[in-house]
Formats: sequence, structure tokens, C-alpha cells
Amino acid sequence: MLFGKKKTKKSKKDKKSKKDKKKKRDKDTLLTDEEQANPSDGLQQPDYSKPRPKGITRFCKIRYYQKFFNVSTKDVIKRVFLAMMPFNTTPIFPNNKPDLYGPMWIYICLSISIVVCGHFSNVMDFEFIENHPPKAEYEAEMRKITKGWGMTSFYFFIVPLILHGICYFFGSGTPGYQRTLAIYGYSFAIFIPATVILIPPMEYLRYATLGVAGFISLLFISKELMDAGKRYLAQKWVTALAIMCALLHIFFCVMLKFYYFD
Amino acid sequence: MTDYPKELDQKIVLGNTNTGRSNPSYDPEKGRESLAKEEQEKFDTLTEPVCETIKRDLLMIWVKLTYVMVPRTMIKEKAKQLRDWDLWGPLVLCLLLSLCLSFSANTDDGTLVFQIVFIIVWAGAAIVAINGQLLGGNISFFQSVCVLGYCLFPLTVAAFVNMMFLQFVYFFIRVIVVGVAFIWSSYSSVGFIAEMVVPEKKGLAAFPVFLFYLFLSWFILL
Repeated sequence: MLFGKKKTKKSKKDKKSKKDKKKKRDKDTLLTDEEQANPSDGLQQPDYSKPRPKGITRFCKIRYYQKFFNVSTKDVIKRVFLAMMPFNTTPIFPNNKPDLYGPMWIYICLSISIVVCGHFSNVMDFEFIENHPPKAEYEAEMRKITKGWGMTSFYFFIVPLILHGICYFFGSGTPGYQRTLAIYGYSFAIFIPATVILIPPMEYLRYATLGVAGFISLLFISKELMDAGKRYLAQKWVTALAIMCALLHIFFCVMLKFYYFD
Repeated sequence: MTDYPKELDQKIVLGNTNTGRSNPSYDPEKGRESLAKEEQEKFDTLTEPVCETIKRDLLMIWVKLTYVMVPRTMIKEKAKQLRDWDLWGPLVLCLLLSLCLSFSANTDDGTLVFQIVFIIVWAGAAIVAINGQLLGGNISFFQSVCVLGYCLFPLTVAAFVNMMFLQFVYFFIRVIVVGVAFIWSSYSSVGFIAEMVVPEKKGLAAFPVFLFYLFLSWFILL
């Protein structure tokens, strides 16, 4: 009885303190009353010590994703260079904390650069090879924009999900969807300068660039994910997944070449 | 109209305070907070002619546009102006840009171009605003969208100039015009967006803005 009484008192106290902690945010400016009274110059760090959102709806709240964006400009630049030159053994995410800023903007930047550089290469083909008056092919452009977006979305979201799912269902553990997402995201960083190099209409240069870019990308993925794969999966699964990733990368390079940079 | 009871007057007025209508001597520089008091004192907008209301809204858009476009040294002044965000200016500029681009499109698919530009402007502004929030910025979502929308003005001017005067001129001159517009837009908006995050993350917040305007500039050159 005594313990029972104590329990109820504690839960009431918790509820009260939680209610006090919930500060009302003005919907217009997203500032609490204190922050509105003392406007800062905008140089405050977000308060990561506040309790994280819980429950099923946590994926809809921005606070849940803020922990993945806790990086500085220097960090991101360093990680992008590490992804483009995976010839050393430094792990890309110190303390095993993946960040999602890099992958998100690499995804958007890559979609844009594929479309833009593809258009420029078509224009150059017209001007230097066919000697016709240059005309922009608008209909083709719009369909290419949406298809390019769809293709990069598949590689950025679905393939890591497949890897994560296979580890989860057929293995003893998983490196986590966020980690595979982040690593796949950074691995495509090399394709952005590659698309720029693909603009001049020289076939051998195009094939060579795509080959090198695909190889470096695969090297980076294997460097980061091979340990996790060996730890969580049987050997046959690891080889099967490695072959699948290689084939998907080859397919990506082929699609780039023949759909955008013909 | 003046027979209405005072409480009903206030309810009607405070229900539509987005553009802060009150007496005809409304000063757009005062902001929305001080207007609330004035609105409770005088109530006149139902009786004034429509062109007065429209003139006032256009004046407000013009004031914000000059504040954003002309380089000023007082960033805090600008920030205070933009706390009263409104989406009229961005909507007008976006529509103008989409119309210019769809008229100057080379094929019959002007409507497709219009749709794409419209969607890209609003979706792009939303993504950049969300990115700012995720990086821990303290400007609200709509304030970022408002700033990005107003900074579309140079690109709209460039698209208009492109459509009217530069259709048959060398590609190089069009590149220069659009390039100048792009640099002007980016310079205006980066100042706002970058000051809302911690100094280490300024590059992270500014890069998406560049990307957004770069994509729109490429679309103008298309």
C-alpha cells in the first residue's frame, strides 16, 4: 500500500514537471516567449539536451532529424573528400555517428547535375558534330528530369533499404538504415564531378570517367560496409550482396551514359 | 457599417490581419504588432474602396522588395522587416517568372514549363527552409520562404529581359545577364539565411540557396 501510494505521487509530479517543461511556441516565428523577449542574433545552438520525441509520430517531427544534422561545414567537406578518395583506412564517421546533411544534398546536387550536364552535352553534340542550328529539346528535357530524379531516388533510398532489410531478416544484426543510407549517399559524391567531365563529346573520355567513378564508389562502399557485412551475415550472403551492389552500379553508369550523355 | 457593435468589428478585423489593414495612413514600416492596437481603435477597411486596399498591399510588397534588394549595412533592420513575412510578393514574382519562361519556351509545351518552374520555386524554397530548420536555425519556415521568394526578383527581371530583348542575340550575352542576376539574388538571400545558424554551419545553410538559384538560372537559359 505504501509503495502504491508513493508511485502515484511520483507520476503526478512527473506529469506536472513535464507540463511546465512544454513551452508554448508561437506558431508564426517558432520562438518561445523567452526567446521572443530576448531576441538573439541567431547564433544559438539548438538544445540537444532536451528529451527526444518518442512514439510513432516521431518521424514527422523536425527534432527527431536534427541529431543527424549536427555537423559543421568543415566536417562535411572533409567527409566528401574522404568519400571521393577512399584509399586510406580512416572511417568516414568518427564515433559512428552518421550525418544525413551530406547524403541529402549530394542526392539533390547529383539529380540536378545529371540533368544540367546532360543538356549541355546534347547542346555540344548538336553544335560540334551535326552542324545543325541548335534547338533545345524541351519535351525530352522534362521527361529526363523526372526520370533522373526517379533513378537517383532508387539508388539513394531503396538500395540501402534492401541492404538493411537483408541484414535484418537474414543476419544476426544490422548496421542500421541510417548508416547504410549515409554511406550510399556519400559514395555517389564522386559522380558529381564525373558528370561535369562527361560534357565534352569524346567517347573514350566518357567511358573512362564512368569506369573510374563507378570503381571508386564501389571501393568506398566496400571499405565502409564490409566489416558490418562480415560481422552480421554469412559468407554467401556477403558475396551475393557485393555482386548485387556491383551490378547496380554498373547499371547506373550504363543508364547515365546512354540516356543522358549519348 | 458603423452601426456594427464594437466587439463584432474587432472580431472581423482580427480575423483578417494578414495584411494589417486599418486606417488609410497605414505605415508598412511599423509592422504587424503595433498595428493590432491601431486596429482596435479604428475600423474602416470595409468602407474604403478596393483600389485603396490593393494599393496598400502593393506598397507593402514594394517596401519589402526595396529592403531586400538594395544592399544595406544594417542587417538587424532587415531582419526586423522580414519578421512580418507575407507570401504575396513571392507569389507574384513566381507567377511572373513562370509566365516569362513559358512564353519564351521554344516548343508548344509552355504549360509544362510553367508547371515545372512553379513547382520548383515553391518546393525548392520549402526544402531550403526545412534545411535551415534542421541545422538548428531560429528563423521560422515561412520567413525563409518569404526571403527566398523576394530574392527571386533579379531572376524575374533577367527572364523578362531575356524574353523581350535577347531572343536572337548571342548566347554569351544571355549568360552574362543571367549570371549577374544569379549573383545578385544569391548575395541578397545568403545574408539572411546564413545569419540564422551558428557560424560553423554558415556554408551548410548557404550552399542550398546557391543550388536553388543556380537551377533556376539554368532554366532561364534553357
